[in-house]
Amino acid sequence: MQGIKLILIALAAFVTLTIFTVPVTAGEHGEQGVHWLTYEQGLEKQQELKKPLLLFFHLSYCYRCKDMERRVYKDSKVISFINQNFIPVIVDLDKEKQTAKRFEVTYTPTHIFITPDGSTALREKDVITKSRFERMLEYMATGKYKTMNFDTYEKCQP
Amino acid sequence: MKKRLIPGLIVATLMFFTPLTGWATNGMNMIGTGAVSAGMGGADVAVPSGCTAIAGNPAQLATTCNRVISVGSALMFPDMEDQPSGGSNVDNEFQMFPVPFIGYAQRIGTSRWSAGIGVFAQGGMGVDFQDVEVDPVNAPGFKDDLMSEIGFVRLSPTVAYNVSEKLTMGASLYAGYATLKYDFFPTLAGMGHKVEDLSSFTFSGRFGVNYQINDKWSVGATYTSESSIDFDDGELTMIMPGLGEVKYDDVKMDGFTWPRQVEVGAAYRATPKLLLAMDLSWINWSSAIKTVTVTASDPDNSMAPGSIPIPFEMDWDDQFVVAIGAEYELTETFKVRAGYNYGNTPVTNVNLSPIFPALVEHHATVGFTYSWTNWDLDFAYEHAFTNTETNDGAPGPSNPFSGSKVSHTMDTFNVQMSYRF
Repeated sequence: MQGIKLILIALAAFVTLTIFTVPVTAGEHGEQGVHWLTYEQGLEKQQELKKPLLLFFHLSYCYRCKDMERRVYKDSKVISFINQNFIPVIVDLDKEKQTAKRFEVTYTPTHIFITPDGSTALREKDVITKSRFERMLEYMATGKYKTMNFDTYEKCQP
Repeated sequence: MKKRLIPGLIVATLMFFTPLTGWATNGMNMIGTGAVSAGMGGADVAVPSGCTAIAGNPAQLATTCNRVISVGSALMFPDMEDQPSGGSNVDNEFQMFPVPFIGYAQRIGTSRWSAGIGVFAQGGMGVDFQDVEVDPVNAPGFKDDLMSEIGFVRLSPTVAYNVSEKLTMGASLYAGYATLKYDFFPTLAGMGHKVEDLSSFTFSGRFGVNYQINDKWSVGATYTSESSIDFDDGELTMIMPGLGEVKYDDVKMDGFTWPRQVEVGAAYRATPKLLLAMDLSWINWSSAIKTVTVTASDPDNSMAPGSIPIPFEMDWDDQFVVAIGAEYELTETFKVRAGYNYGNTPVTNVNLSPIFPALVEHHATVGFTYSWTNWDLDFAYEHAFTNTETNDGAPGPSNPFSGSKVSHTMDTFNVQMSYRF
């Protein structure tokens, strides 16, 4: 009997917590999110704009991909920086197997940065911390990839 | 050759892990496998968990997506006291039980299937009371020992499938190996005895589902079938009046079953950094542990009875478990966890025995994860609060512990390392 009472109390506590902890998401602050394109759309756009491609390989049910989206792609600064300086492309490994095969990606999440001339400048597996991802974005957007590799660039940062 | 090699490897692996299994605290079950689950108070049914999904909700394995290997261990420190009716208090001897876990999982090619395999301790228990007053009223000063050790380890090949973007399902086959030994006042002539080397192989399975309702909510459920454990191949030693020590070479134990279990759970992403989770479980001990009978035959003395049955009335109750956990991301690489777990003791007071006292009910847990590139280091600490119960059954040959007061508390440390590649 005492056990059932405790279970009911715990249920009530859980429901109360879920009601009163209001989630904060980028969308609620008026951000539209990253303007993701398909790989084909991204290639067309790159011809026109001459910006680096940001490829995000994911699976819809991969929890590490969701961690990446939650920790990094919901941040309003990251969103606006990507939308201004990159052509963001999202690739679902289940749906776009040819693109995944072309880039030899089997691990999710994987990020690949492609320069406007079509070469791969950066490639990284797993969830990337927001601070490191921001350094990657700056490295690519400022064109530093033309003169140094990312490790050297990171060491130069304060 | 190959036909013999594979079962042989399975047996060897299970036997390697079994002696290391020890106390568990939802009855004889662990409250969670791995430091992530333990840190959340065992609330893991709807929470992505990597390799430990093999021992939790197998459907969660489908969300892992890459190759991942996890190794870890719990280190359990039980603390028990036994006070016979009218006698003095006895502390359990110091015991430390390492409870290891190893698992591997991966996505199968580019399909929606994932597979994994793991070896983990499902649970167990053990006590070591020395110099307990056997019958303080009728035989003051006569002291003897009570000892028990039950270990249960499972090898579990697991598959999981992504039915849709939101729904995942998984199933584990559990090949189990259990061992048991105990001392019941071994120098008490005519009644006391010592049992060693009982062991049993058993099979069962677990089926799990998980549904991601939206970005914030996910729900899951598991069903675990029961495992009938027919212990045999044991030995029993007993001092018989007029015959001295008699050894029985063929000992079996009937009526011991690891129970079926139903779990439901929910997880809620309250804020981008805060995850809340809750599980409710029903563990069907009432149909698993009733009367356990040890039967000894093949004595080494022809004057001794050819076969002796020793029944233990246990009649455990069903157990309802509630587990609540929270996980908070303090920094980009450091998460902290806290949890609470309650499960009513399945042991009935009329049959309370200091040999099998699965008594603790309330647990508080804390933990953390430090992530470094593709590595995770997880740690958790569990404290099971003291619970004291008294045997209120009528005294008699079938209830030698009438009036005994037994206390149980426990501290457990969990460490786990995972590598994704």
